[in-house]
Amino acid sequence: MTTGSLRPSHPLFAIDRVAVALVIVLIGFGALVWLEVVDGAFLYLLFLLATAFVVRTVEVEPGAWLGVRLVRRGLVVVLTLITLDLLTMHTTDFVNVGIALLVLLALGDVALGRATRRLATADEDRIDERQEAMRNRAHRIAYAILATSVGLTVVVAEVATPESRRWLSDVLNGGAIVTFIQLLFFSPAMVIAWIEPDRIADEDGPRMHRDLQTRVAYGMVTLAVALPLLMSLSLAVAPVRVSAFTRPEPALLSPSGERTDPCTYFYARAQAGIGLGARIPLTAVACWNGTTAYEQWGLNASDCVQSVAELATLTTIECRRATASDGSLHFTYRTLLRSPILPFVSREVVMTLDLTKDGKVVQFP
Amino acid sequence: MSVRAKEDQKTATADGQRPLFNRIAVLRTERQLSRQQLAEAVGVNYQTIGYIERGEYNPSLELAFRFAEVFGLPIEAIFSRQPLRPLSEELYPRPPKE
Amino acid sequence: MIAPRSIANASSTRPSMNRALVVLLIVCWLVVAAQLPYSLHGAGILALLALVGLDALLGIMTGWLAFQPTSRLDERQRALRDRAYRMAFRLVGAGVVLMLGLYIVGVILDSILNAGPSPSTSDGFSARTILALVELLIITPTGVVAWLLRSDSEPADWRPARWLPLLAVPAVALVWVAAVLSAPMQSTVVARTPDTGFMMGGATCGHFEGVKRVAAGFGGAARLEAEVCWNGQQAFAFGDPTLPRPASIHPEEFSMPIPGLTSCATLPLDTDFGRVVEQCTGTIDTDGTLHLVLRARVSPLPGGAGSREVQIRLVVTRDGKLVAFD
Repeated sequence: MTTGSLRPSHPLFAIDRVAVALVIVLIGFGALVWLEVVDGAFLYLLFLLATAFVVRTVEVEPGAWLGVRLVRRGLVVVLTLITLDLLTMHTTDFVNVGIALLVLLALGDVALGRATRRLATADEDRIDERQEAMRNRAHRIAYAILATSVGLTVVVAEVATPESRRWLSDVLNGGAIVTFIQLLFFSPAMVIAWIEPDRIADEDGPRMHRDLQTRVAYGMVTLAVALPLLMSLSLAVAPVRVSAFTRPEPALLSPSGERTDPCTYFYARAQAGIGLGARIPLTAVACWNGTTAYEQWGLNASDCVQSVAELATLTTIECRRATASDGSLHFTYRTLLRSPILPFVSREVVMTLDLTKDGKVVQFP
Repeated sequence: MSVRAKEDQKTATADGQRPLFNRIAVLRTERQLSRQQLAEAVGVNYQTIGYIERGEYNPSLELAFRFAEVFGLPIEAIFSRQPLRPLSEELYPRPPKE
Repeated sequence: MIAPRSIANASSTRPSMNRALVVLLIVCWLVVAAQLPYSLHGAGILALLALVGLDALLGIMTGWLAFQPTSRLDERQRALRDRAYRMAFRLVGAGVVLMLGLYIVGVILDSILNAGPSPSTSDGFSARTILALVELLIITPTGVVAWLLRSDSEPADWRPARWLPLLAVPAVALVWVAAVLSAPMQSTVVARTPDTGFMMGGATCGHFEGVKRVAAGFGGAARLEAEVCWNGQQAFAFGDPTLPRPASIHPEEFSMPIPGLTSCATLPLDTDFGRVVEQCTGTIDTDGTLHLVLRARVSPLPGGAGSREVQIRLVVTRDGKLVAFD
């Protein structure tokens, strides 16, 4: 049994190692995302896991504010509302609005852990008899909540009507998984936050040392919250990175043996945003014959749907091909990117191809 | 349900137990011990000391014996099922008024 | 008066009996939760009754400690109960993950071994999965209590009244029989037109899937899946050479059976709780309208008693208009 607060016993996480590891992670994260080696969202998820791991090693006290039961109950109500909102969210909305709610939920869970001193998941040798009794009691109440909510929802939805069965299939593809994970991993902590009486004043408690490890942990939490916001802002601020090249297409022979018109292969890719954004490709072959320039393939309306959005909403504003009176070919592909976390942040990306009747490339991309 | 059981229910601790009365706060003050210091001495969290003092948690028999060892008093001098009189009154009862 | 030795003997065998019951319960649960065997061939009700019986036995042996109100327990029992719930909480999480893993393994094995039709309708959970999930949620705390109980913790109580909960087995059986005989059937139909996953020259095609369940799937189900094409002259079902062939389609092209397009066969999960015999018949009218009818007999009880006739009807005109699908 402990003599006081939960003292971390992980020599692996020495102060200097944590600080060095954090610096390496941050530099590596930025480099890998910039170089497009790995997916930004995947790296962010890894960073979240690392943050959770480091935060767990830090001794926490709820403080005067989170120590009040009324405040803790308010936090539980907010978390419950967010979880219920995610449950009813369809997959499409989940990708857009759900990301913001997920970040809020993660923040709330961090606050919940601090409010309860992570009692729900503490090892038995770190807690005293009262804490153990409270933890076990909270698990009993949380089990009843989990069993009733999950069991009743599944049974009633499956048995009631075909529409309810369809609803259950839909939500299973959306926020229901998040809801289940929240119930499974955090409902005991929510119960503890609800039932634990007001805490004794902290001035009588152990002195909290704001050592470097604690500061690093707080920094990682701040960064974990700020990163989605920064990535959203990068959509508007970071320059659009464009890579493009052209090459002559080998001339084909017609069935009668005559050479066909000369053509050029065009390739361009525009990447907007860092970690959150879209990759917009333009691949086409256009030809010319001295009278007019024309598209062989790749400049149709169906070719404007091949963009890949990463945690952003992408809307095609314009996808238009036209031939001018002087025979030149004009193609414009205009898209609007919007961040789901900061909907007021948007970026317009335009890809243009202008080719004269003599094969001169006026503008690309 | 008996009358006593009904009264017990009204003042039950969080897990439904009948609350115990105790002299923890008084003894701690006499010995100039903070909650944290007493908690370290008996091997519990300082919040538990506060909950015991407020009657919101009843210690186990083992924990009660540890309190007795720390304060150097018998268990019945620290905990009671009935409201406790001041120790001075128990040691030096007032003579009855004539 | 009961001799002291018999009490000691009875109580010392109880932990092993409790644990044996828990192990037996886990085995029964695994049979239900796992995707193997693919179908219980109508024996699902036996698995359900076995689970109910084991649940009642475990409850009796533990004195229903997991469900007792706090005011009726002493401090030792409260501590044991709360500790059991904490362990049960983790076990439920592990159990759900295990069910998911077993499902994935089952799907992989099915694709390797059977290459048969797979459920493409949004069917949700099967009756077997619901049973496994509900059983896991209800009985895990009692199972943990049974496993943790010390030999001398609860006095032996052999009064006949204590065994009354075992009547839940025949009660559940009666409720199930009543449900399969009288509960209205649940019908799910899905039409996807045009079907972008299948193309045929000179014709437009749509995919139609219909399921009718007895007692929400706990009495069996009949299923029809059809790829119906139309070309302005005739509507026809493609992928099953036993169905009528339109004159506009070459016999060789039509004779090849294509699994996953048109099927009058049940899926393994449809026959967990009842035997199903299906037959499809199809006709093309003189005006080119396709009439496809599935007739099935769903028999939840042995010997065909209480069987129910199920019919799914699909009518599509030569222009692709859906006249009936019920």
